Amino acid sequence: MPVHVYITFPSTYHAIRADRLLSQSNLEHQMLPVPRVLSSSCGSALRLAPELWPSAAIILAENGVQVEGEYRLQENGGRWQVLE
Amino acid sequence: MSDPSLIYFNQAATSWPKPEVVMQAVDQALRQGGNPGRGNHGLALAAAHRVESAREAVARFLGLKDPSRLIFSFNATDALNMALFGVLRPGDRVLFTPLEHNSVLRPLQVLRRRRGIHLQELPLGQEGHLDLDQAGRLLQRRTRLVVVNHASNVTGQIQDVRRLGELARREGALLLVDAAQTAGVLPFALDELQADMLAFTGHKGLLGPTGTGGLCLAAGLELDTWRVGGTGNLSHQELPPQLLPERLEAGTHNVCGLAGLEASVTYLGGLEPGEVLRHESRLRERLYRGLLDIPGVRPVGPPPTAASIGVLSLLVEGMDPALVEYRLEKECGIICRTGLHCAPRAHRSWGTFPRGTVRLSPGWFNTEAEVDAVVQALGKVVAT
Repeated sequence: MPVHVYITFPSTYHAIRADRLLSQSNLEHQMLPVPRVLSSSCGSALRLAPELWPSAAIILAENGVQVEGEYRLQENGGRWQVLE
Repeated sequence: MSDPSLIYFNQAATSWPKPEVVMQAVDQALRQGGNPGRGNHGLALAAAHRVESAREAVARFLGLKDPSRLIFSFNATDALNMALFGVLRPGDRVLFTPLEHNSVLRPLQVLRRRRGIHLQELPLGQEGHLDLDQAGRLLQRRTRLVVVNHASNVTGQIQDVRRLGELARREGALLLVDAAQTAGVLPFALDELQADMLAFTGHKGLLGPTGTGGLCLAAGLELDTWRVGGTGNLSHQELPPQLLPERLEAGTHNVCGLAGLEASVTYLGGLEPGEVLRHESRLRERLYRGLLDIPGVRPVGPPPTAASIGVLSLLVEGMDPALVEYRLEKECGIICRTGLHCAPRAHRSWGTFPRGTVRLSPGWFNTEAEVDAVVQALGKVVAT
């Protein structure tokens, strides 16, 4: 199964800002519930291909979007496995 | 559809009609549904996008660089309560103007009782302007907060907020601006006003729906929480989140209203800066001069050339203001408002307390022809 980068945020405001900014930059990504294996914060997480993350990180930083955590996860039989 | 048989001169209460794009945006948001931050499915995300897109648009329109410091509220009163209860602590001294609305006066009186804050009214100079020399002297005593009404909802007079902000900043006091009547009418930015907080409503000069508004916060200023509850995230914590805007925005947003508000600021952003103010000032001056030609009618407030938004109060000799309002509507189809307009101290200043005044408030969608029709109608009401 493919590995993705998962980004969590300290608030919905920052999650939605990230989603908007990456969409405006045509960087392919998905928004999904924060995997419970990462956090019980109930917010949105951003998922994207690992090779896109460096560009995305620059866009988010330049626009003041706060990131809570950065993870690499592999979906495996209905569960997520945290790789690092 | 607005009723073409009416002349609506009550824009200071709520603007009407609204731009067509505002109604379309509200309709679309209501049809699409979704609760921002409550779920991560497409509907919830789309609703969250509506809110954040509106936040960016309104922040840009009001000249606020960091959208996270625009806290959405349900009206200006809500925003003013958030500001006052958020910054004032026991023993704090507050200066306020006699032109304040009850949305400021009442929270201040409640805080005086609950937290023992000390209140002092700033004096007005000639023609209703704030006496800035006197304000400067009063600010030399340690003051936590100055509250100022940007433009009076009784007379329309605009105050020199920027100068007051400079005085407050020099003495280490915070400045809270009540922009209920000016947001959307006067071009301004929070930084230019030297303000620390600015409260606005969405449904007056901004031409948006009722149930919208907000508080702009200067960089670095922290408020105690006001309304607390669910934010859709950090649900495992029993205390509110620390980060703005969620820290001050508990509960479900007025998504449809904010969609409309984004449409209205986009509409206003397409106009020339200052165009709405110039239009309102023209209408007010024409109205004022027209009223002077009617025997027995006395405008209340500063002279016609004073810097003002489209608000004008008047009295009719020998006639109850309430009867003037009633007859203007029933006989002439003209909508206005009578009374104290929730600003009792302003009426004390102008000698019209407790009877109040008839208030005529034209706005962006009103015309000079309507002003002339109102003057003519008032002449008829007074004469018969």
